[in-house]
Amino acid sequence: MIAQEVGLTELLPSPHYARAPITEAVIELRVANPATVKQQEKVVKRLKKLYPRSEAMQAFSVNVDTTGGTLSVSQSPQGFRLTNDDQTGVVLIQPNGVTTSRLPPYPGWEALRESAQIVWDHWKRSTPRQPVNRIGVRYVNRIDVPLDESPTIDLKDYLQFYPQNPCLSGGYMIGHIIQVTRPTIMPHWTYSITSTIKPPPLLKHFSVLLDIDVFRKNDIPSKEEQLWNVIDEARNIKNDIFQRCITDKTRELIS
Amino acid sequence: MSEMRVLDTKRGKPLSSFLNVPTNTGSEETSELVDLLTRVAFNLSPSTMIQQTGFTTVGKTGTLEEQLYNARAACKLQIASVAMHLDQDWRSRFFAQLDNLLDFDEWDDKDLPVTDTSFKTLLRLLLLIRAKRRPGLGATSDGHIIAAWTAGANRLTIECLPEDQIRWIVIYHIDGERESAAGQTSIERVAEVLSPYQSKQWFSR
Repeated sequence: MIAQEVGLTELLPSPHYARAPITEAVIELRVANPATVKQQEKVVKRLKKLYPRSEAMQAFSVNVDTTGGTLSVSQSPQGFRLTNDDQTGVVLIQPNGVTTSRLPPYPGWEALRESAQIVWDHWKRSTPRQPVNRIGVRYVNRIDVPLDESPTIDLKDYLQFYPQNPCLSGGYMIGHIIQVTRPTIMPHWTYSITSTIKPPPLLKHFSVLLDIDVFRKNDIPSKEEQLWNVIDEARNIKNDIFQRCITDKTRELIS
Repeated sequence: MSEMRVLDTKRGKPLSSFLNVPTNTGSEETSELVDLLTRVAFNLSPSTMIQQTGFTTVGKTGTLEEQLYNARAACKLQIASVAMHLDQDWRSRFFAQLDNLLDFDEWDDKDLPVTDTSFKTLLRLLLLIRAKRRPGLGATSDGHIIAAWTAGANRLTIECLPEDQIRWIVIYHIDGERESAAGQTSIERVAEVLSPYQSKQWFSR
């Protein structure tokens, strides 16, 4: 079914929410050819003032030959994880690009975009010029719903994105994870929505995660200004998806 | 920080590639999602796929200064995860209190830094009682955080233990008589156990 057939022709505007449930906001840029460890270290050094803390990341690969039963373990460097002083800003410098992440309190799109631009700028100065082959904007939301007398909630009251299952028992849902990946109504963009229940950080609450990832792998502009205009597009798509995924009850909770 | 990835040697790539597994930035929510999604991948293809992805914790090794930095960072991350439920000014001042409490120059090197499990109990307590007044902060030598409120000569001290447990001590003056009480309970019961002592005097402005 194409978007026009179901009445999806334009993006919904996004109001400001006083208690936006964002637990993480991420902008990611990936490049085709991996940067060397030395080049990554240069980026880390350049960002030291803004992100003084850095940790090396390692990947351990356990290779299992399921026919022969042999097992081998290898270790390889996967880049660096940088954090700012108050732990709210996280940057990943990896062989295939950079990820800029902001934890709560969410400072707004402009601040996140500016941080990502600074990181990207340092990456470009330290690594050979090459085209961007994937851009992504990802927002993880955690909706904390107060529980009154009932031990759980009906997800349908709070989300338009929830698992459907036949009624097999009178018990309430104690866990789920769903992910849907589809093209968006905007050309070139794909979205991935993931939802799951998580232990609530607040007592007498029920928490559900809504993770919205909007990404694009083709027709990515090489000119800087156009690149960031395209990233702005991803933010608008993400806002539209969020609006369509929540209900008025959730709007009340986060306003 | 490390990531573990198990590959299918026949295909030479992670078997979770049919799912959109996000880049793990190390935040609590993302780490949980990455873990869940890779578990889903494992369940969908049990004969060929074993994968687990996650971050190892930094741990309590290193110098005292590093341990205190890690403790501050862990506490601030916990505060950040519920920032939408806290007033901005309240949160900033609370951050400053934590910086003072876990200051390397003031810290007794025989004491353990505050543990994240104790701090989690404090944060959940503060969000439950909706305290308008921030408590004074202290710590025990074994890493439990202490919250204290005073109202005139009346004093409430709460030691935060892991798993939502607290030890509380009240010093209360009534008709010129000094009365003291103490106990251990879960934070869910705190309103009930403190109700004889007009607990609002400590929590309200």
